[in-house]
Amino acid sequence: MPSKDQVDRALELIGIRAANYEYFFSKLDDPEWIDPLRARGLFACPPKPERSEDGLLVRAVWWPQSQFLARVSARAPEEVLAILLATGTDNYAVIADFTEAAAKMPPELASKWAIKLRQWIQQASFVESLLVKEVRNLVLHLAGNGRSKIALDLLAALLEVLPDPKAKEAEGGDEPGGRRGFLEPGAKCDQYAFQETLQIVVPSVAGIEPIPTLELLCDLLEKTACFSFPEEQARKPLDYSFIRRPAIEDHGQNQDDRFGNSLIAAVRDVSAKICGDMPQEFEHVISEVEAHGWDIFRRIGLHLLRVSEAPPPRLVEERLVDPELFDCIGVHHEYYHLLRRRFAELSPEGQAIILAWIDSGEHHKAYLDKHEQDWSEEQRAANLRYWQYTKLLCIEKDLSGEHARRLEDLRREFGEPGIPPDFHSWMGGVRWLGQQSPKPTEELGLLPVKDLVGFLKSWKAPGEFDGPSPEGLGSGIEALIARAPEKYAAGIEHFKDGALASLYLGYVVAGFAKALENGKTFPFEPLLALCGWIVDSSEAARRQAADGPGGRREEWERPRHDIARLLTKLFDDKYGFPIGLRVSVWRIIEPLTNDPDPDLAYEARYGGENMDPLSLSINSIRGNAMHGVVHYALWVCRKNEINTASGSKRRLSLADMPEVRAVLDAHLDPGKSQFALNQMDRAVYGDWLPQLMYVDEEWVRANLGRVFPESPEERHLRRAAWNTYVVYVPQIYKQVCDLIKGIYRDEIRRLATDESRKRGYHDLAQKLGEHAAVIYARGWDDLAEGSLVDLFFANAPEELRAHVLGFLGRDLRKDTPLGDDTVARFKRLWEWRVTALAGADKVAEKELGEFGWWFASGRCGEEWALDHLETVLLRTGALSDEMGVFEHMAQVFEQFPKESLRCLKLYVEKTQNPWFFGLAREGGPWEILRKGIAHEAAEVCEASEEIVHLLGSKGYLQYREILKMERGS
Amino acid sequence: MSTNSEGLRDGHVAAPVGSVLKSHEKALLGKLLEKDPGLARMYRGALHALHQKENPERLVLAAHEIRELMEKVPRAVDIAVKPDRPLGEEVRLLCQDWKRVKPLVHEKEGRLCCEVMAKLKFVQSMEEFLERYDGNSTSRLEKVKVLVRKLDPSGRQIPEPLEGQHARFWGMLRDYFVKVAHHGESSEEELMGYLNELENFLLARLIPRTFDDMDAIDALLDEAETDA
Repeated sequence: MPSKDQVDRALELIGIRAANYEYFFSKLDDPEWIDPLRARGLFACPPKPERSEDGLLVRAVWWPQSQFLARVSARAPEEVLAILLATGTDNYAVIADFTEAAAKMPPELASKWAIKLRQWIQQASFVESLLVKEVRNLVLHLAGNGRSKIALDLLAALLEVLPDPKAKEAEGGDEPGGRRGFLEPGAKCDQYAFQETLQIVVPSVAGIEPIPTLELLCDLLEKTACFSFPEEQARKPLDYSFIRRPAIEDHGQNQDDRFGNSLIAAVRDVSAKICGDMPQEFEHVISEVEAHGWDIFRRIGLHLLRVSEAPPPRLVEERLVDPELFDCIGVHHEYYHLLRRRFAELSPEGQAIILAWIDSGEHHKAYLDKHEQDWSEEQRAANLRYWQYTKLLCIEKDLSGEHARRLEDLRREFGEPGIPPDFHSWMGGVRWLGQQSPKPTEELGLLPVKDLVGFLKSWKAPGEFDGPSPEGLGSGIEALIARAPEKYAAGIEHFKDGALASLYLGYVVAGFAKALENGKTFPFEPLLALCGWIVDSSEAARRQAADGPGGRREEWERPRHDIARLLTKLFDDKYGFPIGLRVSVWRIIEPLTNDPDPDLAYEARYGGENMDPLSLSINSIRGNAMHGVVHYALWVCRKNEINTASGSKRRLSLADMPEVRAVLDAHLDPGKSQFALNQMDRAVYGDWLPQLMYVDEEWVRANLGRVFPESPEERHLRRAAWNTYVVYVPQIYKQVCDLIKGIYRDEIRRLATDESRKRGYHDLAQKLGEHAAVIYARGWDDLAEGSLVDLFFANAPEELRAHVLGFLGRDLRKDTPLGDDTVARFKRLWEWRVTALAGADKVAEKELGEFGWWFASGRCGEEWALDHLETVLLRTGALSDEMGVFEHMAQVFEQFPKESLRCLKLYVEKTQNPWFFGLAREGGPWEILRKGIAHEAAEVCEASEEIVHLLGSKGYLQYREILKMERGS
Repeated sequence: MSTNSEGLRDGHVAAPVGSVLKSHEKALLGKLLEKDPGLARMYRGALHALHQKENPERLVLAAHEIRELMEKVPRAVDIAVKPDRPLGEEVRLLCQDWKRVKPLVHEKEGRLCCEVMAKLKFVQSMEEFLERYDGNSTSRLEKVKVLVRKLDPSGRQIPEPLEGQHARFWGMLRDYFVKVAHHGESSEEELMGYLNELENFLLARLIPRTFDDMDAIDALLDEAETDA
């Protein structure tokens, strides 16, 4: 036993700080310390469990003392037990340690703790998995050492089945299995721990106390069955277990995630084991199981009779010739298999009874009667024959003579059964039907274009759910054209056939578009001719539809859509679309810019918060056509230059493209186009603002107020254009920025009102901040009062401000080249923010914490960066890119050891991140401290050592190694 | 690098006039400066007073500074400190509240009645008073326990009996300095002893030598095992 002096010294050391105390008990391995420490009250007060604010979650609070007791329990069981019994706690981590300790004691002592533990479990509403594991071990220890009664009692407490907390709500609901569904009984531990307990503990305990274990399991299963329905709806024997557990044996159809399934398997396995090991107990087991009355128990009984090697024949026959079970849906699967396996073992009378039941169909009569009204006589007769067929299939191997012939007749009539006949219903087996073509693509490719069109016109879809479809055939055509566009371009006239379903024309156009993407070449004129014909035909159909019945405008949507999509690709220089086709192609574009898809009603329903206007534009005919207009304008600009009077050349502007100008003007003017009221159309202007500036700056200047209208009534249109510009424009241009700075200012001011942070543009406010930052970083704006950055930081909430500082920091962190003047601007911005935040009442931790990126970039000058890092860390321990920070610091440590250590110490003191120092065993802080401790300057060495001790006091004991390494050397 | 409120570069501490700081004093002064320059000023003031050998009140002055330091330490480790008013002052404030409510009270059918809001306000004042009184008289020990916990960099708790011991020890030190600050009998030697205890208490927590302590624990356990 330790001396009084030693105990005093120990207490003095462990009282200094928690890390010492935890370390002491983690190292203590001598039970001789128990009594003196107990005398000083060290085992009297385990920590209380910590609850979340809502009280629902309980966090384990470890107790070093209980861990010590568990460690030494085998060597001092009496002393440890005395503490276990004297200590009251509801901290499950401590109880788990106590239980672990008990499992190492002699059983007569362990039982005493087990009794207390059982009471605790009975009163607890939930038992954590950590404790379940220890309870399992204790149960096994007790059962294996002659204390099976208390072991089973403890197991019963642990596995207690509890009613569904929603049982009250379900009272008075629909029938079980109906729309309201079943109730979900639960357990005191989570499902995984429950299953694991059954799998680990039950076989061992059942090996020692088989019948009591079976009784316990049956009681639990009965409770599960009872708690599966609202009380007034529970009617034995019907438990609907065939739905949740279609087979008693392990089977893919079983929903294994169900709570009760593991219990069913346990009852099944324990029963089967008893029947196998003790055949004399067979009848007792069957009666014990079946006595519970529910279908699930009757099914387990039938299952046992099937799988056992030699069950008593009387028991089998009694059940197989029981008319209640013969066609009972609740026990169908098990009865089916028992009959299949044991039919031949039945007495001749028994066999005759069953065959007679099949022949007469009397058990199926009630079912047929239900359908007397809705089925014809013929249908009901066929249904009866199918029922007989499945019954005969069950005993197929034992049939002969007339019944065998009858089965063959029925097999010919019905083929293989739709679902396995041993199941009442079948889940899964879904396959993806996709779009099937009636002919393989290769076969279609052999047809001349004329014949192919002929086939398209003549083929009729069979209308089967999973059969070939027009869409499947269309996809085949698309693939064919994508592979060999020249052949189909040459025969394209054949597609201009009014009798051909327009759906296929869309696939034809899409096939040519795909061919372009695949790098294939073909003459464009035939394709344009086809597109022109489609547009003309569809416009005619539209007029016809407007004039009266008979029009088929909707049918043309698919090909118009594909043409509009083609127009967004066609003008890419890599496809070599000739400028000579300008007039022809415009003749196709222009009508599509007036397509009603989408109209205002559609936009209101499917756009808005559901789909932003730009996304809507690329999924609609007119939207794609409007994008096509801009592509067209840019293409014309690129391909043409005008010789000026002075002899120089100039680019074309909209004045040279009146057709484009007319469309762009019209879609901004409700007097000229109804679509000027659509947000989608306005989004296209926002998306292409820089390009429109390139084409015709004057036009943009003149129309800026119409693209981004200011009136409150048109706010939604402005938002559509502006939000699209801010979120989607990939690059910011000075010219554009200068032109729209006023709009930037207005919109940034709106950040304070939160309007710009609505759904649909979830990152709009962040993007706006990024724009302001980029404009500043490029030197197009400054930090003066009223500048974009100034306005942004004045109006944005901290989270957004932090985002922008992080955005710039990450930019610094990237390898992108930045000039010295740009970095200087970055630094000025940071200093400006730090000055602004210096007087703030509340520390803007998120904002300041983003400096991590800046420091880790190593691009701001080390002295400046270290100075600012220290300033940040004096105010917050929430640092971004912390590993990057300390890895970079390790690199500059030799030049700035004191500054680095000051920062590191502040971070150790302030960080709330429990993982950072716990994980790092090399690099970053580890490297800094290793170098610091070995440093030649005594103060650096001391400062490093102080940090190592500080880390130790926070529980990061691995840093002791650094001290040992240094002292060892 | 900026200067601190002591007018010195951060990390540097001034020695009391006419003396050289001992290493532990220097370390503690530096740490207090990090936590709160005000604390450092009080500690330096105490050391300064103790070195004024010709000043007959130096023990009183030093004890006063130390008492102040001990009062303010909780604030430096983020513990909210409620105003610790004397009981007499609390009662005076409560009387003021009662005087405000009294004109609104009248007798009706033999029972005292008053406007609901006024009544509620007074009941609230009364409740706050009782809570404070109750808190002041019973939870001083608890407050010191919280301080002991806050001084631990891990924020975790040591065993309750030891925490209680430390809290009582802190209270004992405080009581001593309060007594001396109020001209209670003492000697320089005694005061230096108490101050030394306080310094050690704070140093062990503010500048932990965790792994040295763990080495000591290892050695102690080895020793106990060898003895057995």
